Amino acid sequence: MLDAIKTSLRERMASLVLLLVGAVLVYQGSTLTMGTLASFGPGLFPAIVGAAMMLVALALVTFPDMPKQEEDEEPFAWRQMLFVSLGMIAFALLVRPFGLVPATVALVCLASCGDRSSSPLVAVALSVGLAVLGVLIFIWGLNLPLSIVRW
Amino acid sequence: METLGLLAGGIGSALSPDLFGLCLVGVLVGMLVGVLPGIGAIAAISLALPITFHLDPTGALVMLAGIFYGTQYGGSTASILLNLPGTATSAVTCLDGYPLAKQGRAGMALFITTISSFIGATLAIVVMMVLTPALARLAMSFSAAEYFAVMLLGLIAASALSTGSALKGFLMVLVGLALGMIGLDVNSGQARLTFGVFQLLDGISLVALAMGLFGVAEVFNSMAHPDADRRASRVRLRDLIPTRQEFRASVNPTLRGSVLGTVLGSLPGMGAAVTSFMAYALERKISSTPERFGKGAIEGIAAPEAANNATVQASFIPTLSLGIPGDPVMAIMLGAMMIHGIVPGPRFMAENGPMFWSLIGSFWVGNLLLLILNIPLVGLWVKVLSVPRKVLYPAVLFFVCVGVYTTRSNVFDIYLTLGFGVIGYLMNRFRFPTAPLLLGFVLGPMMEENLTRALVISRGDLMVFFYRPISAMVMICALALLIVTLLAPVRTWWKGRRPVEGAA
Repeated sequence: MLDAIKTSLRERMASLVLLLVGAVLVYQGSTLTMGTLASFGPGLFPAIVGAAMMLVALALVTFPDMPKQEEDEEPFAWRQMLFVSLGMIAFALLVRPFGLVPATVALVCLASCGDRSSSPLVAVALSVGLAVLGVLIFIWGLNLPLSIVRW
Repeated sequence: METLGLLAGGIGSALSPDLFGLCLVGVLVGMLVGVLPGIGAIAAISLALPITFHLDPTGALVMLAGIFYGTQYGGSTASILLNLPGTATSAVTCLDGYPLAKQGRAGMALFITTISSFIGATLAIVVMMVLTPALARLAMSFSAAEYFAVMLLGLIAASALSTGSALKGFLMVLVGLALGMIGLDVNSGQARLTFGVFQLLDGISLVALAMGLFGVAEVFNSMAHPDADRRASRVRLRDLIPTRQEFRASVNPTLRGSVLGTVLGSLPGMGAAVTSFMAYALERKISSTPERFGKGAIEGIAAPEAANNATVQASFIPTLSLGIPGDPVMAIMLGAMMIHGIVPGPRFMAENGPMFWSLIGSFWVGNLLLLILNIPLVGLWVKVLSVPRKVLYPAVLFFVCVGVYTTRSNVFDIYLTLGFGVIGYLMNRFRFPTAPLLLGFVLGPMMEENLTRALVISRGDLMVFFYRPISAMVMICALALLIVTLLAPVRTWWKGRRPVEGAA
């Protein structure tokens, strides 16, 4: 019973967020030229879509969508998210100034920290393997505008 | 007769070394991806998209399409052998496929699904060959009102028929429409919804959105799970051949599944995941022994596998004839065509006839390849499945990052992908479907354009959508579906409270 209340509260919160997104859309539309039905301004379509979003979200706040059977609550993947994010950010920061190989090594090593079944040795070996593969496929094979290593 | 000549030309060009090679690579990648749980056709095609930029348009389409229908064959392999749906479209095959494998009939089950997949695809390709040119001719007379109506129907159908809450599906379509508006407005040249971020002026990249929602989100999810027990039953050659009785039991379900998948698949908004479930439900309903379902009924694997392959092929019909993608994978294919400068739609057939027929030719070649290769390669896929996740997921991330970055040589897109990954993970947790969002994103700009154009012509008269017969018919279907969908939660809520009152 308590779980059901918790779930419905969470569902309502999620729909409330989308209600807000709809409101932002309507507001953003209103800051642009709205025009008329016969000649659409750039703001009209966002406003229509935003209003529809608010309506549907309101319906979901009122009648929350409850799962049919109680599912086992899986733990939130905080750890995986954190390290994958760090890895992707590192890739984005490194790929242009330093090249594909350092970016790949950073991405794979950081992302592997998020996986409890991985180990430093596996991560390093995998990162080197993928870096070599990346150079073979993307740089030599497809001639993509990437540099191997530079500083 | 003319069609046969064109088809012969298409098959001829599909057998040229270049296209044959790309088709083979496509179906092999598709099977691999289909077998791997978590990575579906959408993620695979968006991963392959940057690579196909370097091919000629026909080759790119042949390869991407090969990946798409290849996943349907691979997906059933994982479902039957491991009870792991490799793709959402073969989830229903687990229900009876895995029990069959436990009874030692895995080989037979794979044989039947391969054959029924091929039959489903065959029927759909034949229908496609006839219907696409006819529909394209019809669509030549379409005005903006008809286009808007068909897109509206597609979006409403995609959200109403997605698994889970239809309201949530509808909400996600709207979010997709909103995401599609970001960037410079084509008509006024004004920046919309960019919130002052200049990198957003070009709009959100389809590759970043798809890879985030379907690739990175799945990595978050799968990395948290321990490696599943992936010991598959062995498949021996002599187990492959079905008994006469098993063979007979699979013929009619295969045909029914093929017809259902083809008819529904050619409508915009109907995905293979939906039609395979419907085919399964239909078989159980008309069976004289419904209690066998879930315990290894042949009908329960033959019909859905025929249906999902038929749907996959048939979903090319609205995309190629009208330029309106019916499901998210087609949305990405459409994006790929536009990147190559091809505008799908009624003029596509007239202007790019040889390309259309080469594509059809490659469907025949690709499905034949899958028919031949599916069973011999089962052993290989089982080995692939034993690759531990600590190797698999960092590798997926690597391909995501390189693919996203090189699409537009833009570092910002990597951050966007990450952001959509987080959003996709949250959506999965709150059971918001991701597929309608992608469809809304692709259709959004086209819808706005056609809506605007229709209303300019009618001087703002909203009834313009009901003046012409086709537009009116489609519009009425769309609105009826919308009303039914919106009323559904009220009805369940009403039903839910009555017994409580009675008890009190």
